[in-house]
This record gives sequence, C-alpha cells and structure tokens, in this order.
Amino acid sequence: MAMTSVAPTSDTPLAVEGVSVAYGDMEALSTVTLHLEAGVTALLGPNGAGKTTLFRVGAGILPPDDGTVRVAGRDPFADPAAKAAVGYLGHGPALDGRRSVRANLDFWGRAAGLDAEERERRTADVAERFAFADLLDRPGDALSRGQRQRVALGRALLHDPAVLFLDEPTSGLDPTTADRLRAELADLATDRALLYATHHLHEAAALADRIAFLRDGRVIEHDDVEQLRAETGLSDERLVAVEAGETAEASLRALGYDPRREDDAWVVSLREGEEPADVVAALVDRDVEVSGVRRVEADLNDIYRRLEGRR
Amino acid sequence: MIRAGRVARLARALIDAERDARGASLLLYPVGLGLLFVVLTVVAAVAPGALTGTTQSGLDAALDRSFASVSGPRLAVALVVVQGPVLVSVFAAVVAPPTARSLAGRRAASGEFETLLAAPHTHAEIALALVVAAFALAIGQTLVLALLGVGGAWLVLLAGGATFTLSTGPVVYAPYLVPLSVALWAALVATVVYLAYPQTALSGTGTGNALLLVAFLPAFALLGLTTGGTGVSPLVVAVAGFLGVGALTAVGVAAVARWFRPIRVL
Repeated sequence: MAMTSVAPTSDTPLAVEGVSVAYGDMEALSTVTLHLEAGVTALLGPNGAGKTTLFRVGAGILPPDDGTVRVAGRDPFADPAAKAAVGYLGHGPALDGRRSVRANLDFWGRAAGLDAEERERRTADVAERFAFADLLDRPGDALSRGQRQRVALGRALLHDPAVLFLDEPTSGLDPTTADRLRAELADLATDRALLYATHHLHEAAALADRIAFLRDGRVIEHDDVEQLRAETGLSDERLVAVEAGETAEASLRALGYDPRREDDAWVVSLREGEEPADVVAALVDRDVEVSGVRRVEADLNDIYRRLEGRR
Repeated sequence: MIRAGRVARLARALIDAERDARGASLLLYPVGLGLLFVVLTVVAAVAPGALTGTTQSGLDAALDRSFASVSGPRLAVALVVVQGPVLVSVFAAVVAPPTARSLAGRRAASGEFETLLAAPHTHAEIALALVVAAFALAIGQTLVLALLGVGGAWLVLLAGGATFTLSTGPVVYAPYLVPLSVALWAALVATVVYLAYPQTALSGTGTGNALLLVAFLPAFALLGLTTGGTGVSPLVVAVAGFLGVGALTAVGVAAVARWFRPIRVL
C-alpha cells in the first residue's frame, strides 16, 4: 500500500490507524490506515468497498472493532468533545422537513455546543457561503433536493470543523450549482481536511489533492494523482483517443488493445514504437470509420482501471 | 463517561425541536383523551345504565370500600375518585409512544440520527438525552391530560351536586401519581423500541410494533386489578403500581445507557 503521509502528530486533523470493522461475519474494513492533512482527499471505491463505514468510524459515529481513530490528536470515542472538530454530511441532509431551515440549523448548533450568539452568526455565515439566506425561514419540506443539499453542507460546516466528511456532496445538484459548490469546497479545504466520497472520477481529479482508493474494506492506494500515475505505470504510458463509433471496440480488441469509451472516442494505450497514425491505419484496414485522433493524459479512470486490474 | 450537563443540554434542544415541529399537535392526544374521560364521567352521571355490568359492579364495590357517604351521581363519583387514576394512566400510556416515535424513531429511520451521533456527545449521552426528552414531553402531556380530564370530571360532579366523605381519608388521591410513572415507563419502552427497530417508526409493523405492547402492560395490569373485582384495594394497587413501575423505569434508564450501540440505528 502506498502511503505518502508521515506519522500522525497531535496536529494531524484525522489519523485512522489499523482500523477494522466487521458486521457479523462480513468484514467492512480491514486494518485501514489513513492520515488526512489539510486539503481535499477524494475517497473512491466501488459500492460496498467500505467508504461509508470508514466515514462513520472517522467521524466518531461507529467505534472500530480494532485500531484507533484520532481527530486532531484526540480519540473521539473516549473524548466526545473531540467531535466538535468534525463536520459530517452523510447520505441524507439530516433536516427536519417540518421545521424551518433556521430552526434546523439552530438545533444542530445547539447539538454542537454553540451558544445562541454563535449560532446566529454562524447561521448567517454558512447561509451566505452556500447561497441559501433567502431560504432560512422556509420549512425543510419546501426545499428542492439541491437546496436541501446546500443547507446540509451549511449544517455540516456550522460549527467550523477542522475535518469535514462529505459523502457525495454534489449528488442531485444541477451542473452550475455543483460547479459553484466545488469551488467552495476547494476554498474550504485551504485550512481544513476534507474527506470526500464520490463516484465521479473527473470531479475527484479536478478537486482532490490526494486520492484514496478503497476496495474490499482496504485502502489500496492513498497518494496524490501524479504519484498514482507513476505508481501504476501510467506516467510512461502514451494514450490516444480515437474518435470512432461504438462498433470500433471489437476491432480495437481484435488488434490487442484494451479500449475504454470516453465521450465520443476510444482511449487506448500505444505500444512501444507505435504512433497514433498506426492505430488509425489498422482500424481503417478493418473498415472502421475514424474521424480523428488525439493524444490524451492518463486520468483517474485509467488509474482506477489499472488498480482494479491488479485484483 | 456520561456528563449530566451535556445530556440536559441536548435533551433541551430535542424538546424544543419537537415542540417547534409538532406545535399544537403535541396536545392532540392529551386533550382528546382528557375530554374522553370527561365524557365517561358525564355518562356515569347522567346515564349510569349505559355502563357495562362489570364497570357498574366495580364502581359499586369501590363505593362500599372507600366512601363513608355519597350523594348525587354516585357511580360518577366512584369513577373519578377511585378509577380515575388508573383510567388516566391507561390514557397516559397511549399518549407517550407517538412522541417517542417522533423523537427517536423518525430520526433513526430518516438517517438524521447518523448526524446526531457525530455531535460532540458520547453515544450513551445521546440515547439518554432522547429518553430524558421523551420523559419531559410525556410528563407535560400527562399533566395536560390529567388536569383537563380530572378537572373537567370534577366540574361534572359539582354540577351534578355530588357530595361525599371518604372512609380512607385524603390519601385516596395519592394514586393520581400513578399516571406519571406509567407515562414514563411507556415513554422509555417506546424510545427503546424505536432505537432497536427504527423501521417500526415508518412502517408501524413488525417486531418493534409488537414490543410496543410492553409500554401499555403496567397500565392495563393496574386497570385489570382495579376493575376486575379482585378485591384488592385500588389504593394499594395504585401506590404499588406507582412505586413498582417507577422502580422498573429507573432500572430501564440505567440499562439504556449501557445497551445502546450506534449500529442499531445506522
């Protein structure tokens, strides 16, 4: 397992060390070690990989069967006050639809131990940051999904936590709102650690400083994107995107490539001594219509496929 | 380690949230059942023949046992003074579970509990705060129910010209403490059930729903002992019920803090 992080200190926002969790006979996490520093760490992995369980353990929600968790150097299970440094956005927005947005935020502020003045000030701050000041007096049930998600982000940030756990925060948002949110998250991550679960590899690549891949309850890689490219041998790889129809896949496979579809093109890895024009010529020989070819860089899709291929 | 201050603060936040969310509907059951008690008193006063034979004989026995003299609507007097506490207890046991359902069950079933568990409290503190909030609301609802129901019933008796003297002295009113302990028990059981079976809060079916019957057991047991012609003094039944159910509830609260595990609601 590749690890770039050094041994955690009391300043390390989140240090998960050798954590294992089992649900009955099913092992959800197996000796997972993950140290988060300030910045965005994207947590990637297939469904059932253990992402949600890792979130819950890291946020002090679910105690591990084995291993330790430290939030800013403190054990959140033994010292619950340590959880004041945790902001958590799970699958649901955790809003009571019967109550106004303001009342909801007030409740969560009280649960986090904020006094009345702080709650009022922080509510105004997060409402402005996530653009829902005009929704504060609306009941939760009257909000759209995207509005609820923005409020939920504000709720997670209300007590100004040092570590933020966000489970697919852009899920259900329209592209404009999602873009704005990503920019906000990047801004937030300048002085706090942000663990971000997503299925969108492009989003992870655009936003994350580091990537953690989780599979079968184990962190199989945790590094920055460039290091991951090198680690998986993709730095030296020359990729081309061949603009051709869906039917080109069979021909590419027959020619010995392992193509993946990206937008309107098939991305393949060039072999030694091979040039993009050689791929095009081979396809034309097989009566495949090619409308263009361009070089591309290995991205998270390739890294993910490469890591999956190691199974 | 459980800190009482943190439990109290979180419980207050939960109570305020529940009051804000449910508003006047929090009083729907207490007011409705309080009025039902008044109606029963009116029936006993105006048309005692409408009562069942068992009820009439139970009230007659109570009149013989507890009253030195009675005039006016005799059965209504016995209903209010002797059986009133137990009937109000049954109603209190009915009132408490829906509030626990809203407080604990709805949060657990909607996933809101997951966020609550990430708040700076121990998991035991969170479970206890829910129990304390359920207790506080159950006490409030029971007081409304008792004041409205028993107060209304007394007005009916006064309007009917009832006068009486008790053979056992004013201590006969002590059983009016019983509804409180029964309400706390029902609130505790319902909270535990909804934490153990969160989906019951949404579906209203399954094992959790069957277990909710435990919340009503003390109230029905007391009712059976008081009205079933067992010969046991209602005063003894009520005081024993108050102490017994109260002790059971206290043990239950201590057990909740040790029993609760986050995985139950995730």
